[in-house]
Amino acid sequence: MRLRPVDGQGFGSGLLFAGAGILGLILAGGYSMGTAGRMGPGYFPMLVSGGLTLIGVVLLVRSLRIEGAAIAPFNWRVVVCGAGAIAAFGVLIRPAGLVAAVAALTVLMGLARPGARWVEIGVVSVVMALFCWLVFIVGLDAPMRLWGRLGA
Amino acid sequence: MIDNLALGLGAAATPINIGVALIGCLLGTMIGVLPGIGAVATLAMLMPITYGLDPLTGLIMLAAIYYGAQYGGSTTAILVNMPGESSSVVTCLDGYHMAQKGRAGAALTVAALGSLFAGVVGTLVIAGFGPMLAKASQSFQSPEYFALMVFGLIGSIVLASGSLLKAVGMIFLGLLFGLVGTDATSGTMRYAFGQANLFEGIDFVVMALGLFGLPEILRNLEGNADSERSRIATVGSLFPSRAEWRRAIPAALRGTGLGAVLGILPGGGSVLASFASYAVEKQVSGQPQSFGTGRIEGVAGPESANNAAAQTAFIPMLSLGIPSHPVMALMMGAMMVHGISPGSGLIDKQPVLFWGMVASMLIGNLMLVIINLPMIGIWVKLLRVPYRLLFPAIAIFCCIGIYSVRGEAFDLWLAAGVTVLGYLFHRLNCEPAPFLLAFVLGPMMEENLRRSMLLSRGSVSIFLDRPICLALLLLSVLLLMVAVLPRVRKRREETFAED
Repeated sequence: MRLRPVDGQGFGSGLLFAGAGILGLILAGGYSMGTAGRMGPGYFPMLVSGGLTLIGVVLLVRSLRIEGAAIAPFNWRVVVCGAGAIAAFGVLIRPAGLVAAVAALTVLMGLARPGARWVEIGVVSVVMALFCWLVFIVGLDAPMRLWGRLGA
Repeated sequence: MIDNLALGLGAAATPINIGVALIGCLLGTMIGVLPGIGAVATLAMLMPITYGLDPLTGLIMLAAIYYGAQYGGSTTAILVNMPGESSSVVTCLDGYHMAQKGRAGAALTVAALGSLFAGVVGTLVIAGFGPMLAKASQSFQSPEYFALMVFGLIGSIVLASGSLLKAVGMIFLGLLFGLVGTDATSGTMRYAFGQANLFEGIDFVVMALGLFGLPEILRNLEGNADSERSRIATVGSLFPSRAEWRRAIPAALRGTGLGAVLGILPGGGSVLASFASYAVEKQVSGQPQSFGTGRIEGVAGPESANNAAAQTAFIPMLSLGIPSHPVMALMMGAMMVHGISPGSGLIDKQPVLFWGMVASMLIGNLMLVIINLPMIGIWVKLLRVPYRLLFPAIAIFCCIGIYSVRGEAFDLWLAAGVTVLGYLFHRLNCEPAPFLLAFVLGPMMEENLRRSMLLSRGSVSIFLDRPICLALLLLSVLLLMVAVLPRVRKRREETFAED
């Protein structure tokens, strides 16, 4: 048996499932199990985590033998900018308000690709902020403020 | 049934309900036309808005978005050779070739009218079959519901594409994520890591957008979505020729029948229906090699099938409380927010809601033909908007949707994390649909398992002693075994390898 995985995607999924399953088992150990007739809060999590771990291990073992596709490399720039843009919206929306959150998201998303067009990003930010203000704050009365605490 | 439909029409034909149905149809067509944003993401994004509406009004809008997207998806497939919606993948094959031959208008007309017919038939199937199924399931208790959920989850992976083992893993992972939060029976915090924000569990809007809407944006940022969209075929005359009608009508009828049946099955839904219909049309024609060169049957069949399936997929959700795919899981979530629990009691207890939805589907399908055919020019213009201007808008709407659920910044950080997870799933070729279904069903499965085992004082035999329950479990095992058989496996791969 070779120890280098030939099925990269299978190996990765196996690792993910087994890892999550083992973490689930460890944490479930802290909840009371109860009996089959009177299940405690730990019973079902144990079953689910156990099943998940089992499938993860099977996938890991299989990936060493069965041919499969490799995992395409992560495009880190896109992942970091994309997830960062959403997180930034979350950080800014309450203290700084809609305008700042929209601008931050648009700029970060714009940075995800090489050759950012700054004029376009500026225009999109302004138009989107205006549109969202009209639709969500004026129209739908969503729980957001245009300028947040800083401007009020 | 006529009385009931009249009752429903009375509820659905109020100015506000017709208004939201129209808005829903327009939005649905728009997202259907635009590649890069699907029905799951749009529904999740708009769901918080509907919380403030009357339940029937909110549901009418959400449903209209979903079936509207089935119409809009065909426009992009035919004119640009890109599926606007995953259920329109096969429409590209012949639809775009028709467009190149100058028959785009005919293809669009056939797709829209086929969808109208299928939509109306599908809705009537809901009206006829839904109450029957609900009545049959009135004797169901916890063991049956548990077995039904197992059947639904297994069905969702057997009929989907990709590796079975991974799909089962995704189910377990989804169940695990569904357990986060306070255990309803004992009050114990589970998998909350001491975070007060997780005590109520992870909101499904966060999960749906993190798995379906936002990773899609990341993937589009990686590729070069704009270069492919430069060529938009011209529409031409909207009227099919007599020969085209003659070939399209039987195909639309077959597609409708096939779609209506497949839509009811767990995991079936509109994607499978369109693929299956294309395969059937190829067989029936006797000249399979001529498909992919612009045969009108290849547009009429699948487009009717996906719309019929989009309608009948409501049946298991409304009458059993079991969602068959992610869109239905979202609809069910929206109902539960309003304190309505879908299931066998729904039609009896909330006749106005059920029949109102059915009636609004009939109205909505009529609206969609008008929205799609005479207004086609507007949608073509929309297709010319470059993607790099659209994705910030989509991302902002997603973020506002998540934030509106309960006004917590934490949910956005969580969504950022789930987005990375969703991106990883895609890299690992793991389907997110079974994950989301299991996430929604998880707490209900636990509850029903607990109650069943309490009834039987801890003996598993309760699942084997009850005939319906046993039958459902046996069916699940059978489904799983069939999927593992080499021959079926090969067929399954072929069916999904069309694109």
